[in-house]
Amino acid sequence: MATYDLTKKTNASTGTQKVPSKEEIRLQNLENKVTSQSDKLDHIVKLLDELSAKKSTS
Amino acid sequence: MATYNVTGVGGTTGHPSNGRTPYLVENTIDVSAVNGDSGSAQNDVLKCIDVPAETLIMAAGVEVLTACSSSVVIDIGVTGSTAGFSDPDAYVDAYDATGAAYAPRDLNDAAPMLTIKTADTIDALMAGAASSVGKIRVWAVLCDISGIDESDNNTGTQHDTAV
Repeated sequence: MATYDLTKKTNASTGTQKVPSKEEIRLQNLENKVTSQSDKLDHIVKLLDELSAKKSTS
Repeated sequence: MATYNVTGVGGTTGHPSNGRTPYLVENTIDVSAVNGDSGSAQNDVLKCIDVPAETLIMAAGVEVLTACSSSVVIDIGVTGSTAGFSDPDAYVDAYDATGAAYAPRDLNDAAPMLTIKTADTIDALMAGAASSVGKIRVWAVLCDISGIDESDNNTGTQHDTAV
């Protein structure tokens, strides 16, 4: 007889994890979407800045 | 004999909108991967769920996702404890883990709510036989019962005046 601590993630266990509610999952998805949109906007601003810099030098 | 109203200020204001709520935790365990992929020996204890200090364990149980080896039965509870209903089979007692299903609650121990003062774990006792196969999901519904105001704010009048 032995005792194995599987409360944390191991190759034999997922570890103790809180199961989120449906509302929490929706909120997390919304946060991910906002973060994604923010990244895209940052990329567009960067491209516009580069375009502006090129025009000003030409 | 007297009755004193020490419920504190505020009176009856209904239910709080931001009160603590119970929450579900789980841990899925591949029994075949325990002990370097050897599986569990008879009467091995698998510590499954971390329970923080000052927690009410409202319920706990096990779902057998993949059947364990022949003759394996599982207890779910708190090993190393015998206080009150707190024992190794507090929630599930000798559940036949050779089929994939949810274990019923332990009727003998009445699957009690347990208050945990210091951090502990909910464990699976793998009894009956060794198991080289099987996958189980151990779950529990917990609630934080730690105090936020553990000083006595009632007035002397509230202590001394019977209602």
